[in-house]
Amino acid sequence: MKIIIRPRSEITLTLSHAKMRKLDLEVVNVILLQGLSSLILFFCLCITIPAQKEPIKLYADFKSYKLLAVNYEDNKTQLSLYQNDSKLSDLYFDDMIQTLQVVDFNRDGNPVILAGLYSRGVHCCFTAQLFTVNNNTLTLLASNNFNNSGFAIEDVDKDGRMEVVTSDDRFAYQFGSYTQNRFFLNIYRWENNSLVLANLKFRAWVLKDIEQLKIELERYIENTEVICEDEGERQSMQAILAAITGAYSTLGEQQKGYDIINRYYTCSDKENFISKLENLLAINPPLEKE
Amino acid sequence: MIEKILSWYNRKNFIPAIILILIIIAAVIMFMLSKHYIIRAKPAEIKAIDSFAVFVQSKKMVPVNAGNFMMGSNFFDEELPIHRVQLDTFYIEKNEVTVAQYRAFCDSTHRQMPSPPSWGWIDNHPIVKVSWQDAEDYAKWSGTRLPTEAEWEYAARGGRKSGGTKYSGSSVIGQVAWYSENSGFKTHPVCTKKPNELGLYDMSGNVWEWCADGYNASYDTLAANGNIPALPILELKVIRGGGWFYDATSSRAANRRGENLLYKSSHVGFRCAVSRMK
Repeated sequence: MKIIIRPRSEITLTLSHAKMRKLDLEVVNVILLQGLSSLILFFCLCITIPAQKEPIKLYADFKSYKLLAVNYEDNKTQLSLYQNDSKLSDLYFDDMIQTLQVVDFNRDGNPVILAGLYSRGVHCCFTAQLFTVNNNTLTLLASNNFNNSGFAIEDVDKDGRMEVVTSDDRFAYQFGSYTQNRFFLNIYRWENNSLVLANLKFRAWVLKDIEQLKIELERYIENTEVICEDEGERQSMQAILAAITGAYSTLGEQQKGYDIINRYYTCSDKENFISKLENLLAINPPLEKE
Repeated sequence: MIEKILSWYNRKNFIPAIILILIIIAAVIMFMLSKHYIIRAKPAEIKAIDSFAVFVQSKKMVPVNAGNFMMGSNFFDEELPIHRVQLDTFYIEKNEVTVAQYRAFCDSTHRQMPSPPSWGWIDNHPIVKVSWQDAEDYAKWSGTRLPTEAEWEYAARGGRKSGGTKYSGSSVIGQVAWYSENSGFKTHPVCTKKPNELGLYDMSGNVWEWCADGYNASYDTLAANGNIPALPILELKVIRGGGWFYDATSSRAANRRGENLLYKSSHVGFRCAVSRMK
């Protein structure tokens, strides 16, 4: 018996009925597999061919003005000010505008325009730029670079005033890898046309942040001898201790952090660690006047 | 009766008079004795009727009368939403379970004590380094149970006697709690700070305390019945009250934390509760 495999329409055989059915199923399977693999290839092709995308646009209303931010594909961003459908002015940015909001921080009827900029990259960098409109032109009031930390606008203490909630990333990459390091909470308020660090007014929230860091530290406290022998573990413990001390420093209470280090960090590089931490906290000390 | 005795006396008929006087004296003595026996019998009778009261007294438990309260706070996300919880009467230990109490359990059940914390085992300090399961086992052994999270918060706030203080029993943390700023990096003997409105000690500070409930980072899905542990199958269990290593914020009555039920730490202990069988 000779079977010639050809495309299905050309199969001409002298087979019994049962064998013919079996052959049919095999052919159907082959066709299904071919179809499926073609679909997968097509899908892969589609996602690898760069499509022509529409630029990302963001809109906001500010008093009698309208704002339009356009993020173009060539890494340029344009922020335009309109009134009655007429364009009044433009600003250009290298960073992408991720968020465009109008915020009345203090509920006093004096809102500002807040553009959340992102530099495009794996982590870095986030910037908050705050504008108002003077003489039909966008005027920059303040620019705060939050580096690796994003930020959010929240009424933290539910008093009606809005705050900028972010974190201090000064320890990024300092004690081991990026992921080993911890950022600590920073809360800003809008005062006299600038964002002012207001952690002292939000002590309970800072202490809650420290609680979370201490919970992480609990796991290291009773195994310090073991931890000293393992570089990764040692760096993780340093990262947590640094963040606790950094967070306390925003309340002017950094000695509490050093007390914890002196009590629980027993590794031989203790002095170097403390010295490095002191230097890092001395740069732009986070404490502000209440 | 006195006239009869006097007439016998006047007629120099002494024997009936003496007999009558003796009968009166005997009656008085019997009356006094019977009164004495009744008084003695009373406590025994109570004991037989209310062994539960004796039990909770022996465990130094404090009654927390039935009521409802607004659980949670608007401080932090995991304490939201603030919601009304109804509770039946229950009893809760006035102190955190001590090292001595836990050692008695270990001796009785042939268990090993946990490895000691850096300050060693001191009998009147709260037990630490016990998992949620260890705490459950102790509670069963002692005929009690762990409090539900709602019971714990209601008791910490002072139940119906609540003074609305920031911490359990005071708004001045140092009056009621051993915490980061006064502990010297270790636990302290139980019941050495001021108690709260119900007479409960160390609900704020000293050690965190295991509760019966599973932990969810919000109260969104929870029922208003605080008598039953919420989310009992979750491996993450609720601990409450803050401790010797933590700042004042952690010792607020509404503050919450979740830990794996196998977690053992020199920061975490427990206390027990019990309800009268219906």
